[in-house]
Amino acid sequence: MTSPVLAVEAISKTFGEIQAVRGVSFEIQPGETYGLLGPNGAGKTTSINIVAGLLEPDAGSVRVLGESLTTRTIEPKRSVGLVPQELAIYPDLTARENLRFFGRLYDLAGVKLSTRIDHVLDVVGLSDRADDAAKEYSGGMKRRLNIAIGLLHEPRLLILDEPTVGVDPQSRNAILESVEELSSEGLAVLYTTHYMEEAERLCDRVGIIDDGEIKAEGDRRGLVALIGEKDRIVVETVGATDGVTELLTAMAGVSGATAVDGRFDLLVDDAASVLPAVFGSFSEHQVTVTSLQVIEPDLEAVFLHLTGKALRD
Amino acid sequence: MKVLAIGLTGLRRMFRDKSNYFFVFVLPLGIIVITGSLFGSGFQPTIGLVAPRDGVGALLAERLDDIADFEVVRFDDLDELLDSVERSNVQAGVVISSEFEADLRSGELAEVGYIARPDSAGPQLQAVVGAVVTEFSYEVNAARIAGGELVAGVTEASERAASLAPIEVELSVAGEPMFGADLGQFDLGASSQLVLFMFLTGLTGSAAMIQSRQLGVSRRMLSTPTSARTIILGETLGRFSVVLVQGLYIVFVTLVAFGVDWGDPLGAAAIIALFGLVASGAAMLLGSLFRNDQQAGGIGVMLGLGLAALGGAMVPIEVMPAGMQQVARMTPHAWAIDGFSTLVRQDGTFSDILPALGVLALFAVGFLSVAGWVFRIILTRSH
Amino acid sequence: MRAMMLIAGKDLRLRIRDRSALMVGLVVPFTLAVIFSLILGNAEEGPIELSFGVVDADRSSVSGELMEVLVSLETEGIFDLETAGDPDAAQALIDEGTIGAAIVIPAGFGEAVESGSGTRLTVLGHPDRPTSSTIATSIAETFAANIEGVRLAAVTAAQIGADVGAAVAEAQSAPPSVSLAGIEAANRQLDLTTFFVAGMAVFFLFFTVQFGVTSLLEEQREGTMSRLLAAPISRGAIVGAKAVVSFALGLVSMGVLIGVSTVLLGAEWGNPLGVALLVVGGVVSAVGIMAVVAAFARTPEGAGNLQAVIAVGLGMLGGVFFPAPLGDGVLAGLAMLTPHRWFMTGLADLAGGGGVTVVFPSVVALLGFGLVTGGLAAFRIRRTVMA
Repeated sequence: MTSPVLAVEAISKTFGEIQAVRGVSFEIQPGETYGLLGPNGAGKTTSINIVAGLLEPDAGSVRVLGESLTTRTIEPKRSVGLVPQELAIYPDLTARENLRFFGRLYDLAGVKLSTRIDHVLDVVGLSDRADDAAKEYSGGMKRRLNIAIGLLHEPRLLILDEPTVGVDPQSRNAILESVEELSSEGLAVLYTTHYMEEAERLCDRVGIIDDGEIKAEGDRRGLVALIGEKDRIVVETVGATDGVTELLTAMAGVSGATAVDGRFDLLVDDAASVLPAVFGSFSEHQVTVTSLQVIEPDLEAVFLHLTGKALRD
Repeated sequence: MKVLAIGLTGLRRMFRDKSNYFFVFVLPLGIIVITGSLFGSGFQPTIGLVAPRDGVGALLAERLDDIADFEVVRFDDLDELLDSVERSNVQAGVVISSEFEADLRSGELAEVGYIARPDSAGPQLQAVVGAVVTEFSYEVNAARIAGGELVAGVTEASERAASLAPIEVELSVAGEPMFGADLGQFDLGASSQLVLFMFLTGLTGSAAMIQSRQLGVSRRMLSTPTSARTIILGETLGRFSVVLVQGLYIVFVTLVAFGVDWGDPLGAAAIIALFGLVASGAAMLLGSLFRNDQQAGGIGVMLGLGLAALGGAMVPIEVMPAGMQQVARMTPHAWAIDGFSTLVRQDGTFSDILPALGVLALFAVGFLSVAGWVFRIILTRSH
Repeated sequence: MRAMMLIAGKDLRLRIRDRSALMVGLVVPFTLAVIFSLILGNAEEGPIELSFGVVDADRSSVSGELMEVLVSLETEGIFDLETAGDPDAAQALIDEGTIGAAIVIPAGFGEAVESGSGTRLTVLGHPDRPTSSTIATSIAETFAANIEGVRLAAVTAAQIGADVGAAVAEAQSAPPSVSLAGIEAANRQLDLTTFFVAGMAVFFLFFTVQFGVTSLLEEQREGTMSRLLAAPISRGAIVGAKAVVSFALGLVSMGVLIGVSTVLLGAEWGNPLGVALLVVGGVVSAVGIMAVVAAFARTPEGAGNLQAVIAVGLGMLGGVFFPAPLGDGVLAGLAMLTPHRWFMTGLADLAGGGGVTVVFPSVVALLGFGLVTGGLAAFRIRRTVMA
């Protein structure tokens, strides 16, 4: 068993009356992407601030590569790259100047620094605009620069706090792709988001956080299994559908079926295994299928189930 | 109506920022009170005095105390007095040393120390003190002629001198005073500060205009069915209303609290209104020419204070060198102050200040039309 | 230390790129100081030139004595003397500004003096030239006092039955028993140009240093603060860098203003070491006060607004706009609570020609302001920004 890059143990933090984080624990292995999924105000950013050493927890500990990291420690911070939620860049400086400044804070210098700057600019696709002031950039470009700064010093752990908020679809995709790539190179990633799709796409494991607590943790399948949620199949049809509903309901692996105005809504154990049979039933009754949609149970549903709240409100 | 809406939003935004209450309302009054107490006609020269508590020296000290022209403050020792004179807390100092009486008794020349800084009113006060000392010297002389105890003799001589037919010196001052006694302590300062602050507030308010542009609000306005002309007028009204609120406030408070005389109400109102337009026009121009609100703020303070200084709002034009007086005439401030002084000092009426009003109107039209032109270009161009 | 300098270097670069600091720290105060010294040009020309008129309608031996006194004063170069035919002519000369005041000796003056009866000298003046009136009046009064003194001697001698003639002769010829003797006072006040340059410099200093300390709040708003906190550097380095930037901006702006004003405006700042100490003290106090405001503010705008209020308020109370003594009243008391006043007092003490030691009280006061407020700011920042 490899030792974890990040080990968070029972961290808690209270601001006045509000208990923002209560006993949060999780670990991240090399090459693993761990998602903290939760709505705004769930305690994601507070947790991240503690992990990055911005905030001192009231209780609990953070270890990076086995070394304790607090607001006062310096060495362990070298292994951590932070991409804050805000655009943490100096708008009046160029991308290169921003990188140079932060790189030097991590004791990078000389040729090494220049090489790294060129590299990360290339990774986030900003090489040709590197010498323009950051304030001239589009929102997506600023986000990409924001990420580039976090990568500059080759951290072992990259912390991304909602990196895609307010980003155009194209840049968003570019960002997600680079995270996937970094992860495949062995980087441990801590990713917070309230976009369920992002968590599903990127994260090897997800911690569902609400009210400052991790309510459940695991990979997507495990989380879904946890709540026993089933797949849904929605079929739109034209033509007479008499008797189809009964047929479908009786089918093995289908636990329920309803039909309203030619729109069938089926609840099934495993969509893939029953789909051929479902199709067969329709063609048997000479019903024309105009559209078919398989809805797998998602983290949204898990979240709703666990907290009684929607992710986005 | 749209003009009004834009203007009122400007006013509202200004006062949403609490610090503007300080700059618009507290600061001008503070300055008026301070300048009034420093330079107002309540000023009386003060002489510091170190003197023995009894004997002949005390007699001379008493004589100095009786001089009506200045206030006398006692000091304990020479060093303290010297310090006070050097720091200009008192205008001059008089020292009657402890050897004074002994010198007189032995028939030697008894010296009274006089301390003044060369650049102050001190040398002039010396003449006043000198006259008292001369008089005293003759009383000592008379006491010596009479013989007997010196202190009693001087007292007696002084009584005798008072009974003689006097040779009076009468001062007759004619003409129209610049700082006349009939003017209240705050009268002149108030109109200068009014002009200074109205202009300054207008200019610093131009930062809000630049922010409007930076935030894209101005362009959004233009995207509504609103003409550029309406936006320009509305922005101008916004500046004007702030400036006017401050102007009226200063007039009202100084009138009520300090009894400042503002002269003919119609004339004063006309100056305030026109000068307000000048200030708004200058603010519009500044707000149109600059893109960075912080820089405009700095330039605004510089122009606000600088033009006020050049225009005689800090130092009366009459005291300036001749060349600078010409320069002063090129500022709107000078004309507004001139208007007020005609109203207040010469009891002038509306018709007396027509020339000043005319020049102010020209300034207003000039600033506003150039500002409108520049602002329209900026508003309608791409960036 | 290295991290602190890195952050400070970055901030300075941002400030230079922005140009606002340049404007507030150098351009604005210098321009205003130039304007002030231009409009006060007259007051710079040293002692006032006096000129008086005299009307001798008496033409007696007594009036001749007064004329003699006046002429001898003119010969000594104390003032210019114009003779006028009658009081109206003298008044006309006064109104047109040729002379400041005039002494009118009425007809019958000599006769009245000789006969021992009362009489009157008139001094004509102008309301705008009180100094001239005062001096002319005093000359007349001294002359009158001499006559009265001789009379007093005569009356006294007559009363005790002594020789009146001898007493009169004695009184007229003997040197006075009491006289005024000047005691030299140093001029511990700044000349007007230096006053205004120094006043503007210290006034705008508070705005200049604010760029440094307030950037702490900007880092927070922009989110870059979390980056700095996450970096392998100490937290003290971040706060220290802000203080260093403020300090550097303040020192540079003061230094340049002092240099430029000395060369271009002829400002006289005094003993360089003393000035340097005062500048350091002034900058420390400005940084401390602006830092404490920033530490208690939530947004850079909020801090900027409050800082402007405080900087202007302190400047106003500290008397940097008025080259007038504040006396010892309430105003003077309030002024002592401002660093501005201590800075200006320190410079005035130097202008008095004292050595570097004369600025010590002012420097101690300035450092006191800075350390108390700076300490409070540091304490607060530890609990908020850095918590």
